[in-house]
Amino acid sequence: MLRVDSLEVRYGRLVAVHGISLEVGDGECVGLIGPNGAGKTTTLSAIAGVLSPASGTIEIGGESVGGEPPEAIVRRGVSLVPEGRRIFTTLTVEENLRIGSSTRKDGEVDADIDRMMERFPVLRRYAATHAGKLSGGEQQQLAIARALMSRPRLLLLDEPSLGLAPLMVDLVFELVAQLREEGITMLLVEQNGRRTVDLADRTYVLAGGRIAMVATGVKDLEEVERAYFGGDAAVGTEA
Amino acid sequence: MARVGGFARQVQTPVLLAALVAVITLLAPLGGLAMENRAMVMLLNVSIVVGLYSFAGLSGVLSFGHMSFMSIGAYAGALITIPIVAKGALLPNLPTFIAHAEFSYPLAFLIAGGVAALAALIISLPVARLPALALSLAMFAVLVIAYQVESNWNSVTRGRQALLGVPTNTTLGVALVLAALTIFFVFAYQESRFGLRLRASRENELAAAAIGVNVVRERRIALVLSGFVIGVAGAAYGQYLGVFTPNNFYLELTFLTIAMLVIGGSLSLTGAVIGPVLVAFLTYFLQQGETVTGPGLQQIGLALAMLLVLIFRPLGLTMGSELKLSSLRALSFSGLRRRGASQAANTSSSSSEPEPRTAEGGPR
Repeated sequence: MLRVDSLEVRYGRLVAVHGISLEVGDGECVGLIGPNGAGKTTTLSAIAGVLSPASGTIEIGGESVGGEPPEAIVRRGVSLVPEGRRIFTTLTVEENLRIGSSTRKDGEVDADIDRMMERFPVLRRYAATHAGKLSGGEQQQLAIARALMSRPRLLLLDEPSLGLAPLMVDLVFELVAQLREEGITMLLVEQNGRRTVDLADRTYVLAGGRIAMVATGVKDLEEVERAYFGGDAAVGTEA
Repeated sequence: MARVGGFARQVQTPVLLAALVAVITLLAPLGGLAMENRAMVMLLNVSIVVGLYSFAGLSGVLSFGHMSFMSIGAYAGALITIPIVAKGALLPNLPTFIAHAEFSYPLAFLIAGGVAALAALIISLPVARLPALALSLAMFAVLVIAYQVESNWNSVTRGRQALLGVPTNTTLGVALVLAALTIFFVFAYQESRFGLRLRASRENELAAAAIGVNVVRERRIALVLSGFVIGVAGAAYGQYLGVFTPNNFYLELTFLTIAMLVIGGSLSLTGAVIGPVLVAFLTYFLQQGETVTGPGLQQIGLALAMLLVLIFRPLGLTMGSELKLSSLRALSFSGLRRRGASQAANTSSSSSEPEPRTAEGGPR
């Protein structure tokens, strides 16, 4: 589904991502964790087309997409749930969902909106409300629902649990687990290392813009914590 | 079900807004010819500001140059409605295809809008790609260019001399119908998928792009569409004045229309309608005051009003909310039992504006 090879991304002269390579197979849920500044969001932004790579290749479904604008990437079936949610606060909840389908041309948008409201009852309750009035957890649900509205082949989640109350964090991870059961291909960026490793099929550990290791179980993670971050503080066990 | 209910709920906004301007218009003749005249100016301003809103309000990119489309509409509309004989005497060097054109006014308004839209399309090709602030300033440059061309193209516009003999087709009724049509047209655009994408980009360009919105394309569409709306309004305005020069569509009008949009609130159609309405009343009182203070009070008063809004209510009086039946009801209730405890959370401080949308509009 997604293959990233020797990706390098810079902000001006600063190299944020040093030639990383990763892969997400069809139906897989792959994690990407690491401390602040490791290059997680930068990597995701490059995949989503928000940043263009300095070098390296990004392939989606076998086609090279490096340097394409974000709307072209969305058309290829990749949907990003951005960091900090970034819902449209002056649009209503329903409009937020509707705009998530802006690249679709089929007639099932209304049915999908209904389905999303079924799944997230809070969205139905506040359908006509400006999204800015929702709480953080509700906004995160809206952001994920909005991303799902494009019927993505690949869902990119950028720190969906960031800044949420513990109960909401549980809810978000439960939701990601559900999506995984439904067979949605996902790349999940998180700071919450333990839970991510638990959930994902595979987790890439990023440090200093390089992939430090690939973890498949919590045991691997402990090793990483010792080797790279000197303890478990940096990867963050439970929030 | 949600769709149908939602549509009925939403369409009340343009209906109420059109009704609002209609009521004011129907009352105006009671005050004599002078009041009728003021109502006419108010209606035309509603059309212009709603047109400006369809770009600046929905895209979040202020334009200092949309009055250029208005002047293009005014000249285009005038040149194809002045009787052929009169045109021969007035503008002997007119290009023949214009010299021999004579249309009745409703059609002429549409053609004038089309000409302005074409100008907007051409301008949008390079300009729509610019970042927001640069786009605002680029539109200002467009205004200056349009003004200079119109001021010096003697064979077509008579340059700085007034264009005379423009048929005065714009009656109170015409202006009212135009304002209502403009309100409905721009509302339909605002609620369409195009309008939705544009509004998403207003809030966060990057996030909008990340979910598949082509911001440049949406802004281009808005520019052309607003060019059309303002072009039509310009033609109507020209046929209200009967005599005009390029100065009628320059800095003063640019400031006036932007002030109206800012005062009403550029984040909702309601703001774009009540801005010109409120300014019409404000202008009336300030002009009365000018008989005491001497000239200048009107402009200073308007500028002060804009300043006060920017300082105390930067999103404008409507703060992004639309006029709805439920907000009217809320207003009358709040008048009866102001400071009701259950209302404290969501009532607005003044009774002259619609209340921000509440979660369910239900229990108060």
